[in-house]
Amino acid sequence: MIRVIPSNKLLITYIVLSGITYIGLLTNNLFGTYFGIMLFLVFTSYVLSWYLLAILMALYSQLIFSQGSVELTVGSSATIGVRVSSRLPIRWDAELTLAHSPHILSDTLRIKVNDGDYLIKLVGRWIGSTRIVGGIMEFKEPLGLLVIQRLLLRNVDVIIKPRQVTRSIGRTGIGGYIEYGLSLEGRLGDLRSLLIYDYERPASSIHWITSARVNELMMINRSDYGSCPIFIISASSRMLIPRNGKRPIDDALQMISDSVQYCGEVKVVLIRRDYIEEKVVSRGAIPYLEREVRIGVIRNYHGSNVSVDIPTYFRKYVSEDDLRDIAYVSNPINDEPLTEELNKVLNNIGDRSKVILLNFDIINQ
Amino acid sequence: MIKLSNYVLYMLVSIVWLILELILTQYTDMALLGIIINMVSMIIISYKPTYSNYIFIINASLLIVMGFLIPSTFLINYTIILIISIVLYLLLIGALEPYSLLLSLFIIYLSYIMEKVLVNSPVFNVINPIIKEAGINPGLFTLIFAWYFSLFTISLIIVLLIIFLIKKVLT
Repeated sequence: MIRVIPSNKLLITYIVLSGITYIGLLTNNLFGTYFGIMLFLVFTSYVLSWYLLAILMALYSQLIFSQGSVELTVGSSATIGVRVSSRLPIRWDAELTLAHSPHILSDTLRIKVNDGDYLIKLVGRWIGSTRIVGGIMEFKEPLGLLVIQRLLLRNVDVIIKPRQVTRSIGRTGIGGYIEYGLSLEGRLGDLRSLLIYDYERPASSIHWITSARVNELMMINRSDYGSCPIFIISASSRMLIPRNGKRPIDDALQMISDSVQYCGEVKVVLIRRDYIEEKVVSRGAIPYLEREVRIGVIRNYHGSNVSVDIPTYFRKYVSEDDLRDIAYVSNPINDEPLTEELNKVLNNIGDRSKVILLNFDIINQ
Repeated sequence: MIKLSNYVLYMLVSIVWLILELILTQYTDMALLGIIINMVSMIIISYKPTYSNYIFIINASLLIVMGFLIPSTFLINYTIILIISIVLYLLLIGALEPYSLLLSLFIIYLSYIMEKVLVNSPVFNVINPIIKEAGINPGLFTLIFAWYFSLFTISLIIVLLIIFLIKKVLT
């Protein structure tokens, strides 16, 4: 988990130093020899000492976060405290880059090892549930001769929630659904008809006003689905590929989040080639829905075409599970749902007026 | 520790070098050129402090070239003053890590002991006639060889230690 990157400057310096020494030796000049050898001595012992100290610092250091999980809204930022402490009691300058998926953005931070807490700003870019698997600490020799990198592992869960739309009365929601009339009654399912009360049905379904009017117990017959829309989302790899920094799935999740605000819970059907899943999603569960779609797609890739924002050298040191969690899709695979699959789902739902299809490409198979 | 600005530090090292060059005027005409360039550099730095690194390198190389022209009487002092001024300047502008420099002094001391042992070894009695035939000063060769070899041995020990530690800690 330690990587040493020498620079060309090191080679050039040695060529210059030995050049001076050999000119002194060949011209039998005492100054050249003495000066060359003294500089060589100072320089080599300095580089060696720096190398030894930096390696020891890196080997015995660990990354500590101030909290075990971070929650933020997409587009906004949150801060997390980090500290790097080493068993070697020296304060040493370093740079720390967090290793995470592109769901969040963070800057490289200049820190001092063994020197208190530093704050890293995280900006939520994509909706979802992901994690920070650790960070890469980098020691740079001030003259730029050597760089020593060390991967420090420490997990922090990150949840990026969709934006919360401010409630306003009379606002039109997604698909023309209006907030008014979408109260309890709408959520339980649309009123289909009034029937004579069946004594095996729950008493809460009795419609008292009608019962009083006709002098017989009447009950409400409701449809299976409520007035809230049913979302059918394409869960293919194309949904997860960013275009201009935004993924199609983020817009879809934001829409679901907006309607969840009115409905409390909505039905979401995920469709991918050979995969259909129906879910009831509440507001808090939206980031986990993204994670499920993402992990599902990434499993289909079998390692290729999936990108991870960690240098290749360090990838073998991160566990398979963590890598999958921070991986993202950069190239599509052919996993768009087929027309038959979509038709099957639509037929199952029945009432097509409530269905909202999100992010379906032209399905031509 | 008081942190001096790079400008002040450059001026300090320039003054030290100026004194060195004034002493050198007895031995070589090039010292005059050095003095002129040094003065011009000080003026340039006063206006453009960002160029200090390049101008430092130019002046240092000039002093190194001058070093080749001076007689042996002043030689050791000159070399030591030059090296100390360069290292101190680099340390104070933050181009050298102080902890590493401290540790490197210890390494230099170790290699000094090794060098003393090596120089007295009988191997050189065998090599010296061959070196002499090749037209190289055997005394200088012994000096270089002993220092290089002692430092090489120490580096080897340090590198092996690092490899061992990495294996032990990370597995």
